[in-house]
Amino acid sequence: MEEAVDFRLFAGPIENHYVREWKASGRPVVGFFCAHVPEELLWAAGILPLRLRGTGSENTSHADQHLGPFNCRFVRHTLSRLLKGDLGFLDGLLVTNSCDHIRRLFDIFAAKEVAPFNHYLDVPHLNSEESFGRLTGQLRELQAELESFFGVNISRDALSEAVKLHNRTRVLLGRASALRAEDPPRCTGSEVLALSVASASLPKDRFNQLLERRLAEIERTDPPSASPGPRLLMLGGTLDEPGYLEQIESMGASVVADQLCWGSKSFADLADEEVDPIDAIARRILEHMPCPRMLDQYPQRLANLLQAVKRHRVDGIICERLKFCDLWGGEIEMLRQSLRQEAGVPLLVLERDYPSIGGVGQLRTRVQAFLETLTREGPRTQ
Amino acid sequence: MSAPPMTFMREKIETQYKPILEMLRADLIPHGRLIAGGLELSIAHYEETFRAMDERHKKLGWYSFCLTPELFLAMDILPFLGESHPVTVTRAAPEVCWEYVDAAEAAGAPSELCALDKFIYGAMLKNEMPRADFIVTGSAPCDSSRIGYQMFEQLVDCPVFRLDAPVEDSREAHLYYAGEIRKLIGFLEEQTGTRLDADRLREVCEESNRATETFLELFELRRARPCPQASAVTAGAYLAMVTQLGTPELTRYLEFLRDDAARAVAEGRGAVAEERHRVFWYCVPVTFDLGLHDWLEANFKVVVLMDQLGSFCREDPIDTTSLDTMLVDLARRGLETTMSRLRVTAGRMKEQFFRDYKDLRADCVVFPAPAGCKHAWAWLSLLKETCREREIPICSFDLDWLDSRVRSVESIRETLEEFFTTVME
Repeated sequence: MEEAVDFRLFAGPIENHYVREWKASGRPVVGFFCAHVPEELLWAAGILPLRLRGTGSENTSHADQHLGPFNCRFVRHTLSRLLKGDLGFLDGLLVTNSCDHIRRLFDIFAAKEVAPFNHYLDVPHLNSEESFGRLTGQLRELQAELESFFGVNISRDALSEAVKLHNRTRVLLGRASALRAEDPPRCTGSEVLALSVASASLPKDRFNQLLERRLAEIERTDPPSASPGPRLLMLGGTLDEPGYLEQIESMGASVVADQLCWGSKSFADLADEEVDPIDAIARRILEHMPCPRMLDQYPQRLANLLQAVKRHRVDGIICERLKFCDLWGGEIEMLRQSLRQEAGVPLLVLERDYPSIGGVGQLRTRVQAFLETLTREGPRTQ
Repeated sequence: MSAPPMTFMREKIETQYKPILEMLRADLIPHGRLIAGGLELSIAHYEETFRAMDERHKKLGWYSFCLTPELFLAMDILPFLGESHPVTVTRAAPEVCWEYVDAAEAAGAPSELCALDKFIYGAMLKNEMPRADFIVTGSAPCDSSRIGYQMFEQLVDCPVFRLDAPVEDSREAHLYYAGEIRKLIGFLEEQTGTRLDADRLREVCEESNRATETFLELFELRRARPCPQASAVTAGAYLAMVTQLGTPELTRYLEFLRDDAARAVAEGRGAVAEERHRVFWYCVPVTFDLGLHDWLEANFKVVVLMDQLGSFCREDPIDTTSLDTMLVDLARRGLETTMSRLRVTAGRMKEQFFRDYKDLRADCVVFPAPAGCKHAWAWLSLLKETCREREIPICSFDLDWLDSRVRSVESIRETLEEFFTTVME
């Protein structure tokens, strides 16, 4: 019998056992940052897509030479690791115009020739038929570049298989997500985030096997009899630290849903397996759980949020924002007003540094105060 | 009854801008005669904006970077570039910027947003932005503007049209953006109830081309040693360019500047007596220090050759052969407009930077990097490396280009003084 896997370990150092094994077999690894990246294309080219983090960075000195005081520390730590050569196993970087910090990280990465392959994918900021056409064109260009640079042929069959494999990951993570949404939850929000981070940190085929096993374990267990404290929805941008949610849940709350970049945003919605795979990938990139980078989707983002609050019987929302993130800074302000006007759902906003560990005391104090204002069956007012 | 929109600005025009204009016309302020035309255009534009809000005789369209005004003019829409307002106001009254920024932050706007967006948000809360019939915005240049316009939308009850601005500068990207502009035309037709007349657009584009060609002639003349016109003159001309391309008034003003510069070159007359240093000023102006250029000229014999991200003024003219060609070239120009440049990669920006630096025959660079700009810093670090390799002196410093509380006039001048008295000596 195989030993149980602790997925939280994969949320630690990026270069885990599976990545080393992949490299040892002579296959390339390409880093990326955002849920808008077409991982399927890389996989179909025989490349391991590895979502980059600043985990393990001890300081930001290498990045500080290049970035200004207002660049976020996720980018600062990650760039530092890249420039120091800590991620020397990378064969390349695939970046989208997710945010300005990432875009400029890419410029420095490319200028410093950190890895031989680099590609900038221009993902539109609007979801329309025209932007869909543009994105499919961009994906085909990327396909051609991958084929030429890595000397591979990306067949339609391989791409279709990659779509299916990635959909499988999304379905499995969706199952895990449903388990934490049960009342009482059968798994924690921090575990689901750990699973999601792990899904971007090892080969998907291997991850799926491990996750199937883990899900079977959880599903075999009896649900806890006691209903825990307030049910929370976690919202925000780049949170790749399950420990952050552990801190929140250790105070008696359950994170039963999330709309985080590293969480549900990365596994929500499937790519259509019945259409041309490039079309399916493009459509999913433009339409899956929208991010504040998209210009025209605030009403949809708000509707998604309110729907999730209702569906999962959420008592309160915690929105985390990395300091200096303009997109989430503005989004929070809009949400604050909308939630006040439309829903009356209590909202706690937490500004975060990266890594978050330094601010645990403050986090606990603020969350504790917030939880005290929430009553499971009481009125939703703060 | 509530006060009409932009009450403060209306008063400011009467009590400050118009008296200053009189002083400029009388040449009581340095380079007054040359600058007056730019201010005159600006005042007329505001007065027309007030009239459109009060009388509703034509639609008022608030647009953002990523577009130039020609299309609006061709459809008899009064175009108002939202981002020009903070610059115009702060130049004359820096403390007003503080008030709006404070109002924005008090209302929840993140303090690290670009001051431009905080200014606009605060001004909207104070009823000091135009009450437009619609807003047109694009996805460039930055996160701050992308989220800023989503925030602005929450405060207005007019329709908002958005264009997706591609990152690169390729022909394919221009065609895509032309498609976005074509969709915009449909929106504008819906808003105005009239059809776009391609011949009228051609007329406006031809006017715009005349202005651009004149500006290019001016650019050529500014290459002369000594530079024929003071820095303050170019700064004013540039603001007029981004807001009024396609109007005959702008063309006439630029022709006036060109003729003056041509005379100065022919006579060997420079704006600065015994010109010593020629600066390529990149990124943003120090909006709240109107006397900075004069101070540089008087104390260090420094002439600033080009201000802001002005590369778009050097673009090819609009091909007016057909509606399609016009739209593609309007797309190209929109994407090139000042801050929209920031959407491209650092590599591409570097190409244009060194082209302009060389063409202007500059001998140093000043790069004020706005504190809230997430683009500028990373790009600056790469630029500095290349400048070092090419032995180009560069003076960079952080500031908030609108909010003088972040870095004061005195502190900026000290930095520049140190640069010109040490590195450049």
